[in-house]
Amino acid sequence: MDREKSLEIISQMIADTSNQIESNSGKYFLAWGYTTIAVSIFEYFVMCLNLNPMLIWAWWLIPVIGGVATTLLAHKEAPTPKSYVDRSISAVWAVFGVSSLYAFVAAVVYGTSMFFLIVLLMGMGTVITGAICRHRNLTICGGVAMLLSLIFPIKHIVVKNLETEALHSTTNWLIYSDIIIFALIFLVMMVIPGHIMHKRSSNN
Amino acid sequence: MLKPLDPLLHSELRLAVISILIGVEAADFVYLKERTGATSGNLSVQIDKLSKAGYIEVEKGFVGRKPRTLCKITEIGRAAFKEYVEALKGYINM
Repeated sequence: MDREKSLEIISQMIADTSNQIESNSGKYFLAWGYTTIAVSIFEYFVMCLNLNPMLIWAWWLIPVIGGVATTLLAHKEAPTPKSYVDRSISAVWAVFGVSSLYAFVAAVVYGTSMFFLIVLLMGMGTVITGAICRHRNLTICGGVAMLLSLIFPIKHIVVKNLETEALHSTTNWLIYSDIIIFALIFLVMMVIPGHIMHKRSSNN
Repeated sequence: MLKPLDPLLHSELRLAVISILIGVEAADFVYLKERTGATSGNLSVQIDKLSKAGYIEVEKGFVGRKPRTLCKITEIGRAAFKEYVEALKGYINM
């Protein structure tokens, strides 16, 4: 083997491996994004139609379905190398996932806004993932989601300042619109960049 | 004086394997086979040579019911690769 051939092998193998690493995460964003949107729409109708209050626990379907989908997708995946990037991303989502569960507990116990905290945490996770994988779209969409999370406290202040009577006369649609805003932010934060990443990896 | 090229790395398949492993934490046998285009038999032999030299670590296990062979580069392997690239640079700049 001559020296030029050696260099060619080294550069080709390194480039191939880094392409492979880059193209793996779009489908996970799609799974979590669509699951969150579907459960949110379901919960919106539960609230608007005054269905069984126990159905509030259906929010837990998000981590259950998301977790199962993640495991199945990982199992189905063609053999890929385990990289430092994979390990970093797994650690980021483990930390932000657990933090989101804490945000849910805080919302139940202290009455803080679950939507604001979860969108903020997930947005942070998305920005960091985008920075690690060098996916500009993901970083931008995560940043936009973090900004959009401010809608919740702003809406809270506006609604709080409305007179009680005016508030009573509003429809359920306005009262429960937080859920729809939450779903729309997930569309921007996970579904759109997920499709972009998935399309790019399919093209590769 | 030019450094000699490490004969263990100066082979097409072994160099390809080490070049893949240098950029990842671990890679399984099937992945290495796909990327290098080698046959299972040849790849096994070359992985065994790299492992015996202490350049890589091989872990055998199962994922579900399927057997899985995971390869990781060691510090010795990393140093040998770095030295190989340095030596190669010397020849190219000649």
